[in-house]
Amino acid sequence: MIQLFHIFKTYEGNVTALSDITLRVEKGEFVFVTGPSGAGKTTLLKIIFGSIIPSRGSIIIDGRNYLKIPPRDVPPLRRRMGFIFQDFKLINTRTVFDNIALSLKVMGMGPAEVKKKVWKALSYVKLQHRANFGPRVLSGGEQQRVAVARAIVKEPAILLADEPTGNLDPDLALEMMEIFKEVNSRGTTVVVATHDRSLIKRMNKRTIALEGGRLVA
Amino acid sequence: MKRKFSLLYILADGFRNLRENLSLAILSAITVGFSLFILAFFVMVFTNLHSVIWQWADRTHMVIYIKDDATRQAERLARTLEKMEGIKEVRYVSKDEAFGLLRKELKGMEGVLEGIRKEVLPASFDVRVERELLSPEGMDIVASRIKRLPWVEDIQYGTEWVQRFASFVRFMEVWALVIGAFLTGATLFIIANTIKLAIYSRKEEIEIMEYLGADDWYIKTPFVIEGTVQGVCGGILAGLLVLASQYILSLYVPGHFAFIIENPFSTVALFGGLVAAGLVLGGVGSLLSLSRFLRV
Ligand SMILES: Nc1ncnc2c1ncn2[C@@H]1O[C@H](COP(=O)(O)OP(=O)(O)OP(=O)(O)O)[C@@H](O)[C@H]1O
Ligand SMILES: [Mg+2]
Repeated sequence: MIQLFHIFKTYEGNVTALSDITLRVEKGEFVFVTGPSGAGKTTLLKIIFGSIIPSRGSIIIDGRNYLKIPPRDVPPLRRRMGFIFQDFKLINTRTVFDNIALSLKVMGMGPAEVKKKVWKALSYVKLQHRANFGPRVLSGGEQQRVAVARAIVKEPAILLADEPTGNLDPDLALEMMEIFKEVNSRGTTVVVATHDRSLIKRMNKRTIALEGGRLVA
Repeated sequence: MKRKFSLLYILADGFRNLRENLSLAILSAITVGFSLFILAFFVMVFTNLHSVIWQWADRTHMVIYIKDDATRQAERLARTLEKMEGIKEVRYVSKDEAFGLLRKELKGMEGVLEGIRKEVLPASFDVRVERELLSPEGMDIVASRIKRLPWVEDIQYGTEWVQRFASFVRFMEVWALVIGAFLTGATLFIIANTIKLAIYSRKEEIEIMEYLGADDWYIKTPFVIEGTVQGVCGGILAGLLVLASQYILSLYVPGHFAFIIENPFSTVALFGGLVAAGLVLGGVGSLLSLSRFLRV
């Protein structure tokens, strides 16, 4: 369960990205975060991920005060979360396969199991034929699917997806949503940030709307 | 989750990094090599100068003249002297020997010695003091202790030359320290920056690994392995450069200066020392540079 209490985030230069956000996402829930560009969606997801520290407010995840966690305990928490970055954040010097595998290797998983899981994730996103390519030669949509595969391969407790369909055609976008739904059905809490209204409409899930850093009903 | 595979991945990462950044890695190793070479060369020259100067200084001695009636017990007296603090070596010069020496010095004017009996010259002990006491003050201390012995007639030693020697050594040591500290500092600076550059070029990779939940040591160790391997290669290179420079210089340096570039340590010690220095510098250097990049 994710709980946010009166979260504010002001970036350097006095840019207010979030103000007074209080919300709650249940364990195993599937929610959308929507809003126009610059509304604060990425900021919200990264605060939940723990890579951005809020200026004010508190967060409780699974009963733990998130902002008081010692640095040493951050990696184990990250291993339970999958993040699909808006800008993918793939390592360009490694193959698609290795990018996805890294997410399992940091857990200390054995090579045989890693191989099996990576191939399965690749088949989910339909990229088996690109396994040994570098991310740089892939199309935007292909890179995005690698990012999706890397996040879901570890069967995270929480999946945070930032605009995961931004570069995909409508059919592929829907397929991604099916993948998320399946992951969600196995118990993963899923939070998807998107401004694709048609997608949200089709999925019929709870939607958190942001505008100018504030929650709108 | 079991962690037994982490070591495997870390080692693989470290060597893959080396392979992928081969040109930068080689450049770092060369930089480390040249820095250590300059430092080692300086240490070598200084050590040689230092030991030559001390060999020279060890010739400084005191002459203790013995009262005639004690001459018969010379051997026992020598042992007394040898046991005294600060005395390194004692040599007995008998009346005969003293006369012989004098005659040698007066070669060609032996006539002067005509009619003089050899018993006229006193027997003496030639005494060398320990290095720590090779200063006017030190020699005075030793001399005052010896003077207290009842059988001592007189002591002769020059403090003027010792004084000059001591201040020269001090001057040299101060400069060696200054230059040595400067060279060490420069070496550390160059190595730290080389490593920082290598890490900086993979900043994004480090960031992504943090996002994936890699532990601190999981991220750091491959870099430390890389730095260590580079340091060791640099150490070996530095050793080879020392040997090469010795060989090349030996062709040009005149014989009586050759001691300057002689290896004061064994080849094994030279390489051992340089490889160890490279290993520590590379390993510790990358750890220090990393700690500034890593949040956790
Ligand atoms: N590091 C930063 N420094 C300063 N301002 C920032 C920073 N990151 C984001 N902002 C600002 O904060 C606001 C919210 O940004 P955020 O990225 O959360 O929006 P978003 O809803 O994800 O937008 P988009 O749909 O375009 O991705 C924007 O006005 C943005 O310019
Ligand atoms: Mg965004």
